[in-house]
Amino acid sequence: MKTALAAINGIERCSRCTSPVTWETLELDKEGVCNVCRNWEQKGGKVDWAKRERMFWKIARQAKALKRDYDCIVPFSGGKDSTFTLWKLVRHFKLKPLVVSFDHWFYRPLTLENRARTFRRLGVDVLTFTPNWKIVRKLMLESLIRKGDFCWHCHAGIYAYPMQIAVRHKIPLLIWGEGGGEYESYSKFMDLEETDSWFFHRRVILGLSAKDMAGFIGAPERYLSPYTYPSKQELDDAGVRSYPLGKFVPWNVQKQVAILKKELGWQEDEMETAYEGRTYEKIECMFEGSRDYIKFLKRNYSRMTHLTSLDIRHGRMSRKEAMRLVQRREGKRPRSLEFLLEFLGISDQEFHEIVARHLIPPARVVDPKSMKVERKLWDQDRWLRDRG
Amino acid sequence: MASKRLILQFLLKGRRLVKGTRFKGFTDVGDPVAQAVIYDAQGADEIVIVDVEASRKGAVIDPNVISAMTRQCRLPIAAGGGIRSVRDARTCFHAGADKIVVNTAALLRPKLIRELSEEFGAQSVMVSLDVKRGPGGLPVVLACSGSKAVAGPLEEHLERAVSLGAGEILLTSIDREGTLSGYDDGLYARTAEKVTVPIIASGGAGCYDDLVRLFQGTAVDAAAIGKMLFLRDYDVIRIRSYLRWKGVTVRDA
Amino acid sequence: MARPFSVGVVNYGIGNVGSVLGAFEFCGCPARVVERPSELARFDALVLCGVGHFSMAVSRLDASRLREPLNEQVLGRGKPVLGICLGMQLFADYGHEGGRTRGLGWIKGEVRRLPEGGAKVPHIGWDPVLPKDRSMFRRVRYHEFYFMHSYHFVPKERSVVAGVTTYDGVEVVSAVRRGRVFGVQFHPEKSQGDGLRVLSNFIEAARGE
Repeated sequence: MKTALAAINGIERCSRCTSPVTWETLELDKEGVCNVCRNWEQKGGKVDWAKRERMFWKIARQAKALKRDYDCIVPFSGGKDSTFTLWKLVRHFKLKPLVVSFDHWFYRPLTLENRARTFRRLGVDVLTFTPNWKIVRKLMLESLIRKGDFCWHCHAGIYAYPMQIAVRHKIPLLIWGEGGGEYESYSKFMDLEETDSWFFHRRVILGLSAKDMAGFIGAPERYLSPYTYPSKQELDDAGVRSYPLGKFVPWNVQKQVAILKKELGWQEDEMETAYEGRTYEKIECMFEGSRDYIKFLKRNYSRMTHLTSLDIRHGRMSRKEAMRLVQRREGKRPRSLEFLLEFLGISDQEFHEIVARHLIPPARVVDPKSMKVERKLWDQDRWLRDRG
Repeated sequence: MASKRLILQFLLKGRRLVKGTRFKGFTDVGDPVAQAVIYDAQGADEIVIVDVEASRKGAVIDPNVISAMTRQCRLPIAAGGGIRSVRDARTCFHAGADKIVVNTAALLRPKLIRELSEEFGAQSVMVSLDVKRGPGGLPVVLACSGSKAVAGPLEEHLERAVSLGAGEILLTSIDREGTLSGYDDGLYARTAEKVTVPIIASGGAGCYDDLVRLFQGTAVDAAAIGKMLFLRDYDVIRIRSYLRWKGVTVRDA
Repeated sequence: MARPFSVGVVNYGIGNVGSVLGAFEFCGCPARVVERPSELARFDALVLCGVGHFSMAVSRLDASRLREPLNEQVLGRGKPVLGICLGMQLFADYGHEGGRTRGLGWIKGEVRRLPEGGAKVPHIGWDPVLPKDRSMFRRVRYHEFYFMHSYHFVPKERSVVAGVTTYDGVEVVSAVRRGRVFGVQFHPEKSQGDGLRVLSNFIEAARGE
């Protein structure tokens, strides 16, 4: 077993950013540069963003021409990406959306404020769906055991449920946020893929469908319906198209956060794993820190690596500075974990045994006892502790 | 050179897929059609689905499962479990299988391979052999899901299968099956060079480097993967990226 | 409104038609199985697929009395046709699998066994296709397709070669085209996204788009 720092220093990384080889879909070329950095070169270079925006205007015009109650659906959490998407669609492209929000159960107080403020200032109809908590708890434990990732219900629900609403209410356009290729190379900037069934099965659901899960947790399939993707037939009949806005508008998170703050009074929040000036990502989930912690145990990297890699690509940070931040700040034990374990109904030891089974070599086994404990988040004592 | 294939190995038991260790202690790993759709989207090169109970029960794999899978997927599917005759095989092909897999019946009556090959072409006939290391480390061939030893050295069984018209060999190491402890590279290094048809290695995949070692150290054409994908946090796309980085020729998908 | 474009998949008892039907459905152009010679005329385009032996395929085709009606539709009326794997091999003058057998003779050439000794036979797996006829491979992204064969088509004229694949040093003609007669040695219905794009290209070409 290694200490966190030994694991951080022991793993091979991209020579340009800080991404290690255990990063999903990472490939290093002969110069030791990763494919995400190479993909990034295309973003500034070959993609004609003006043309892409014209393409989106055409999509928007076609949607408006249908003269239905809503021009499109915007799947929404209240995080930086979906809030920017909603703002851009309403204010810039002048669309009238139906906001569809799949409540994963773990919104923090400030996120609830951010959501309400955004809805009030933009003037939109909102449909929030809250899935059965008892099923959610079972799904969290099941996906942790099977995939070392307790977030299946959130991944599947966020992507499947708005598609169901599109089919049911015959709203043939969905607009998502980031276009892929920012953090990984599942998709390339050049490809104009839709956020469709293929994407859902390939990328979103960790290799586990609702039908699989129903069997695993011993629930009738209808209890898993919020997580079930509509069939091709249903989607074709409703004529549903589903695009990420990030394929038509270049994504620059930092600039977008500045816009949100100015236009919508959107606020950053304290986080368990981030550094000053970068506390805007995944603040919509109480367990962001716990998720990162698991990632570190499995892959020996987490959000510090990811944030510094982005800063390097944007030219805002040197690699040396980035590595210093990673070494100093990555690999801490979050306080939110106690809370998570209560919901999962397992002990600290059971949790670490499960996660240890999911080690992705060449990452090394890290001794959890060697890790320092993070400071408790300001709002943690306000979270609802009831296990249901 | 053909790209090295990554093949999903599905074990069907009743209406669900299962996975165990050395063919025992099965865990439910999902619905065959739902899982096939997922791995098709992930860009798996092929699926091999075998009913683990069919042979013992004297039944044949349910053609409805095959047809539901082939209807929704755009990748090659090989199906097996209990195939004893040209008629059984035809049922599978009609349901949409691209290849059939024979194991126990071909060991008990090798001529079955010729009958199938003449009817459907060698490229559609996959012969599956399960082996276990015996005394002195020599591989012993087993029938009936690894429960019955069959006389004769592995080389003889391989030669016979190929000469009778097998188009592909699925060679499973029972010692490694479901253990996540790496392929039995020695087993494949010896056989893959000699055999003139493609060989699929099966049993033991547990992490990226197991696959790298298999493909760099032996001449196998394909690797079957099971538990590593069903019960660990890997997907086909990530595996491909890692293999490509290590210089293994895999398809871009 | 115009009648929907119809594709008939010829079933002569040897092909794996289910996957082909599924793939056309996925392309938004549902296809139907054709079993009787009299039905051929009803379709706007035809597909010949097949698993098995050349000689057996030919004898089944003849036993189903499909040869003449197919000639009439394809050669006489110029109906677009797509041959897949063995279906493409049947376009040849002769095949050598299961004894020398006369094929449909729509594209001059022979079907021979892949050379032994070097590469493994049968050739099974995903291999890149180098397009010669770009229209058949429009929008294709990765150019790798699924092959499963022991015999290959050796056309007499290079002009019909629409795509080639080099398999362990052996050059295989992996796509042919002569006018509205299209053939592919690989299985587009089993080649995921790129396979579907090849089928869509065929549909568009057949529609005259």
